[in-house]
Amino acid sequence: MPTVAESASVDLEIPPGSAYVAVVRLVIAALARGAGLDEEAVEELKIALSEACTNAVLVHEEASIDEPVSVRWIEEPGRVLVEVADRGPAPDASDPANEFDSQGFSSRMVMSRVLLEALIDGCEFVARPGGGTITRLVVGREPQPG
Amino acid sequence: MRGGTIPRQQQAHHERDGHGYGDGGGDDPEPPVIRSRIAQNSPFPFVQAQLRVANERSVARISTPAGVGGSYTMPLSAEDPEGGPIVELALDVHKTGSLSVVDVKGEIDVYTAPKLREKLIELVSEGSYNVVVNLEGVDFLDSTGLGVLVGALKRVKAHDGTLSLVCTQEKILKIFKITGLTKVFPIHDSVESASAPGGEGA
Repeated sequence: MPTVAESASVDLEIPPGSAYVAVVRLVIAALARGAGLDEEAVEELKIALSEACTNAVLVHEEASIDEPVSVRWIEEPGRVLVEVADRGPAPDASDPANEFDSQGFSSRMVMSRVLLEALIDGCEFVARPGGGTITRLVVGREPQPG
Repeated sequence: MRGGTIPRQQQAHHERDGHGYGDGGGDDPEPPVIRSRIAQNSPFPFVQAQLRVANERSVARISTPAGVGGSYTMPLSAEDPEGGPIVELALDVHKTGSLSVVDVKGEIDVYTAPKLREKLIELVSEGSYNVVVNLEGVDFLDSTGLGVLVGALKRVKAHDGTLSLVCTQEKILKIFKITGLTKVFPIHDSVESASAPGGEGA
């Protein structure tokens, strides 16, 4: 029997400023708890989300883009998705400066990617229609009863 | 724009009010806003409560009634740039022998990390090259915090110094493990063990 709400979503838009990343963490953490994720999964999602939002906010700041950063929470029967959409130019992954500095330390960007890939069940970067990138975070969960 | 403060250029934000979000706006100058929309069919009674929590932390106040299935806009409280912080970080520095210990409390993210970076730069410029960063009071850490710690490590190493960490929280240790930084930083379970002879350095 189909449930009334097969999927549901919440949209957030924040000004592209570093102060607002914490607001997104707060709201998405509440949604994640409400969706039945355990505390460890919530903490991991918070970090991955923070990475995605930080990257989006920084790319807007660097390119002086005033447009808001959009965050969409999507709840589906077996998983939740969080999409972070920016309008910035895609980072140049082929630039070695994005990987290691002169002393061999990973850059923040590399650590960010590593965390995104390790902490959640899926992470993909897709081109956003009209320009920019959508970072899509996927967390699996037990299907909710009823 | 000065780093670390809430960007004020968002004042012009209301001019783009054609999203179908918010309550129609007006001609009044508006503070920065966080727009939020909840799908009509979504069973999210707790969102409203959470936004109230945000409000209590003086992030924002809700300008329109936020019933489930509604849409609303949260103007940020327009206090002084340092006031009403959404995310807080407290730093306390004390000396133990030749070591400088920085007790960090709160969340280290893209907004607060510059404060930690400046403090660590200040210590090195004062000649403190053996530093312990105590992360026991840290609730949140991401790559921006890691970047600051790596930067500080490079600075003290340039003076043959050391930077070690105190951390027993599994959720924070996990971040260091995933990024391979447990091999880079000596990590101790207390300030005492970090400051014991031979406790500093790798």
